[in-house]
Amino acid sequence: MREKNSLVVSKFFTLKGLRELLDSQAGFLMALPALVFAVLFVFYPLAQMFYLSLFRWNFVSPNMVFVGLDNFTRMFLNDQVYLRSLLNVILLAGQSSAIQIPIGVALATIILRYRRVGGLFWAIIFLPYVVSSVAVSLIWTWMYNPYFGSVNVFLRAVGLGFLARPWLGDINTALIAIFGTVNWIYIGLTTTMTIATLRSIPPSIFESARIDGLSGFQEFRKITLPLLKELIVVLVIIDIAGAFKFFDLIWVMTQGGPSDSTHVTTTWLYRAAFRASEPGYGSAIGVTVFIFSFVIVQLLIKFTRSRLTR
Amino acid sequence: MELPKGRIFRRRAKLFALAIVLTLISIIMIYPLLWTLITALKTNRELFLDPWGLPSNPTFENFFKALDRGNMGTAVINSLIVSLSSVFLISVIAPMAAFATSRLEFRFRGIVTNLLIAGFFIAPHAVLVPLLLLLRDMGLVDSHLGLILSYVGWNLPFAVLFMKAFFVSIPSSLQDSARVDGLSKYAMYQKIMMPLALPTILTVAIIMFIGIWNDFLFAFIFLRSPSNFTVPINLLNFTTGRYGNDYVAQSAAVLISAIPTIVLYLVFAERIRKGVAFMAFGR
Repeated sequence: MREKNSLVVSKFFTLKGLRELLDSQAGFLMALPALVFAVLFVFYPLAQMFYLSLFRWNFVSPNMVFVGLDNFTRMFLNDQVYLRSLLNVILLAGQSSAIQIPIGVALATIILRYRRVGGLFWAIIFLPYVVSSVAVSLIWTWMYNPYFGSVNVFLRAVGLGFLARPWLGDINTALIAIFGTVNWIYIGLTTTMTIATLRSIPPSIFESARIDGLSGFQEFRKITLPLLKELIVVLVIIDIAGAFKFFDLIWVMTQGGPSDSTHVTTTWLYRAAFRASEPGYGSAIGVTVFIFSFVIVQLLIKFTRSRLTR
Repeated sequence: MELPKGRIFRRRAKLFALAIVLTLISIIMIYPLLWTLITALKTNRELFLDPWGLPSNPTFENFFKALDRGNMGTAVINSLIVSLSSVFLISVIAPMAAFATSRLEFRFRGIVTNLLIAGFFIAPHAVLVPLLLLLRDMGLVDSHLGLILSYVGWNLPFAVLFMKAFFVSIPSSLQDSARVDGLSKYAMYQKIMMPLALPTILTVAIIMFIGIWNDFLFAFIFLRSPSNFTVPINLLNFTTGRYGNDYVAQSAAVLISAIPTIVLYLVFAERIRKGVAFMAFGR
């Protein structure tokens, strides 16, 4: 017994023993740095978010007031802007799916069918995605500018001057104007994801279809579309998760205005937590963002996976 | 086989219509960027008198103004420091973790893997308050180090996921032969796996660089003093402050902010698109 213990201890003190010990734990040790980051910057704040959501606080005061679920009842029963922001998120996800997916699928099939021109076209439509959201937001704020904005200049030039307006300042058009910019940014991404999916289809299928004399549209409907079904589900899920991660564009273009009509949950969270100095309430909004975006998305993924692979 | 004339004509008409549609879309996609470039070469007077006019006397004065008085010069240096440091840390940590969780056996491997990847599915916006409090406790608010660590923490999940897809695809015979040669697991990683993974690491690094260079959220919450600002937050600051009406200088600032990522895109388009498309499959 004594013998054995000293053997274990001595293992640490010989170079060979140490090396063997390190090698036997190599898997964990190599994952450790990443694990430290995940725990410290993702999971610890996540846990604290749940905790803070039960308090009323102002960042500086030493006493935090425990309020139970008051922040949540306030959110869903008394906070019109929060509810409006939820509606905006749904509208954002819905319009992104409804507009970007059909156009993206159409463009992807065109790009793959006409390779030479398609390559250049693909490069062009993906370009906005690599420019920062702040830069894009500023550019489009200028596009919508009432005095020199190209949108109004164009409308006046083609005789539709009566439609000209401060697009982002008008409560009826601000959200639509933002959606326009969103689609301008992300159409290239949707197209790219679709192309990646279509490329995973063996080209021999298309060749035999062409030999069978299928027209472009028939080919699309009979071969491409069924294979795209799973991708479309994935893209819808990405649009939902993306809408809950939406912040930069709205903050730069309207700051949630006019009259708080363009807030999404994240911009309202920011306003509540950092402008109104209510970190407890902000964290409670964060909890709902987490639940809507993470939990629901995971459930959707699981549900669709099991249905699609059956 | 000869096609009947009507069919050839229909085919041509269809191609012609398609060409027009593609050209129109291309114009819509390019035009706002082009307009910004032209505006950056004009004066504010010219912009308001004729928003579509070309600059009568194009100068780069706006660019110097943005770099100097607009603080864009400092911001570019800050962004380079923050982005490159974050990308370096991610490029070292992520492949190692991805290799370990996909090719090595250890206890709780499944749990560890899930913990490493979960962050990809979580909106960092939800935890802005506790993240700020964490940085405050660490004394890292308004510092580049705090920003860098946050970027590493929140970008590792995607990097690990992406690298895992690569390591899973390597034939296991390679690993077995390394074992026979008596290499330790670290040596195996360092001498065999990492060199093989370098092209994939490069792809990850480029995507991470673009994402971090462009990031607004964390910088917006964590940074306070303009001397520490990174490019996106400085850009916003430039448009709301004293130069709020100097649209031509702001246009120049926007272009300065976009040049590095556009250049990267022009050089590495295929890699970037491939990596970004992975987001659809990574889920």
